[in-house]
Amino acid sequence: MIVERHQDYQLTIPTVPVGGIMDVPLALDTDAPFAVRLVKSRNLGPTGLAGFRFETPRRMYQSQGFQTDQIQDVSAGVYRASRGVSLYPQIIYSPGGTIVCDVANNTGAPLSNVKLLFRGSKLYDSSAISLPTYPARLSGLPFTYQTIVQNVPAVAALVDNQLQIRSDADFAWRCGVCDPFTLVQDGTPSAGAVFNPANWSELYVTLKDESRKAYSNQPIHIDDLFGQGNPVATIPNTGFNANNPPVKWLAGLLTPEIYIAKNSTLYFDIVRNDNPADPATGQVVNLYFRFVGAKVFAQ
Amino acid sequence: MNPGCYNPAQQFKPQWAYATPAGSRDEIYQVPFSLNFTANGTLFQNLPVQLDDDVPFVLRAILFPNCGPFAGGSIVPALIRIRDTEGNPISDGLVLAAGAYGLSGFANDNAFGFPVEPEILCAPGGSILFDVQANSNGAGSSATIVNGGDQLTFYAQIMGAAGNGLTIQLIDPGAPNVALSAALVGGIHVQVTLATDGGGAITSTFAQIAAIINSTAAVAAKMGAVASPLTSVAVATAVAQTPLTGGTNGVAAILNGSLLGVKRFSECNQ
Repeated sequence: MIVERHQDYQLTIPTVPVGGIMDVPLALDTDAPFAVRLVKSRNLGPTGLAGFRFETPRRMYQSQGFQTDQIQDVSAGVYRASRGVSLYPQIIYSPGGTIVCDVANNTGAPLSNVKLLFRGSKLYDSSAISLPTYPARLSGLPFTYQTIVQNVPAVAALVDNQLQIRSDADFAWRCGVCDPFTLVQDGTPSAGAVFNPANWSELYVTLKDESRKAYSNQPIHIDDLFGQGNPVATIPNTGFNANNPPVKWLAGLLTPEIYIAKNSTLYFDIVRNDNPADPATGQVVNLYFRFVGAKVFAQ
Repeated sequence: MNPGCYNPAQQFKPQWAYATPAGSRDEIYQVPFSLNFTANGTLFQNLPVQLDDDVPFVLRAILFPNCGPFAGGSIVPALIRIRDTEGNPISDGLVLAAGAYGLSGFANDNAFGFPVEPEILCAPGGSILFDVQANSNGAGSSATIVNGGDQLTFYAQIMGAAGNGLTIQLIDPGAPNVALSAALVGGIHVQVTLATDGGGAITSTFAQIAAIINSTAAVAAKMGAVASPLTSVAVATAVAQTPLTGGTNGVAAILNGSLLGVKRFSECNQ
């Protein structure tokens, strides 16, 4: 029997020259096939003059030409980031395979830190990996866990942050939200009383299971894993920030869900690389991670 | 499979796939509510939303038009905990914006609310209880000086009206080769002694003044500063002792929302 495990593969291209770049390989792990079901770009800019394409396992292009997952905002005259484009039917790459990608760049200037995110599942034989799952009989309760990672500086690498599941029930984690936030109370010292809520730009997360096996090949931008509730001030109506696409107010949906047994732990690493001198995105922040899903009680 | 039977392979299913139990009839039902509290950072507990007492209510989504960060106007971020009619909290303590539920209604981006998955069967006449701890919707005190198009803003680290007692003073030392420094006097007065060159002329820029304030621990605990642009090279001039103003405490706020679901009636002929 096949069991699925959430997996993100991300290709990072530091610089895409004018004109574009061809045949950039994204090497896949050798432990299991990968079924890709969504592709999302980052940092292709607001002009709509950059795009991507990639090859299937048969070395054929998946699209007839360069494509974009961006959404054209006609009223603002720019292209904005989307939550990615669904791939249906899924494309299954063999263990150790390669997703070969091309990026076109007709913007007239180099693009930096371009990322292509391929989201889907690793497909394991049930004898090859131990994954907890639902009991035969159960009752469910919608539930949200919250983990607060405090005092994250503008430049940081914080490993093995933990979401600990309580002993009463398993937890099926289905979507996540994260905000930088500090509760401001009257009459108390409130860092950022003027600039609250603070924000981030370059903040990435790596999810790991209890055995510290990662769910991605690279740290994934937090907006792509946890949605975002606090867009930076320039985004909502007037501008485009390639590093903080307006994915506001949408929880990051995990597919498939990550099932975590009671009394066990989900780990996650945080990497942040912002400008400490920027009051909008460089302040020390408390990160409120909310893990939304359901408690699963065995009966 | 009989309606209502559980198949583990189909646990995560769309809500419209929930079958009405045999002998029952579901009718869509909405429970609008308004909760009153003060948005000043204080925790308000057990704010009730009482349900009708005729039949059970099956909760399938929550919509908060006015809850959560960056919603604008008088709306503020809030930590929230929700309990069902049996007293079960549906979050691990108070969570920001009620998890994802509070993100559901911002700017009409999602008027359908955030799904409660799995659905919750609520007792007739029961109460859904809310605990709310909202961010202050007051304002922090600040003062701003300008030089051309550049600005230097000083702001209180104490939220609300309490920050209005702070003052800022930029002092021209009137002597050559003085180093830039900042000090807190009397607990509320911040005095910045500006740097000078060999001729006694002031050389401190807005960016340098912001940096010395933010890096002097005793001062930074009371007051912060930010230059605009961040690297402003505008040279400051002496400023007399000036109070920070505009600090106000939070005032009353209303959290509006709706519980979305169905009423579950028993068929009379069953």
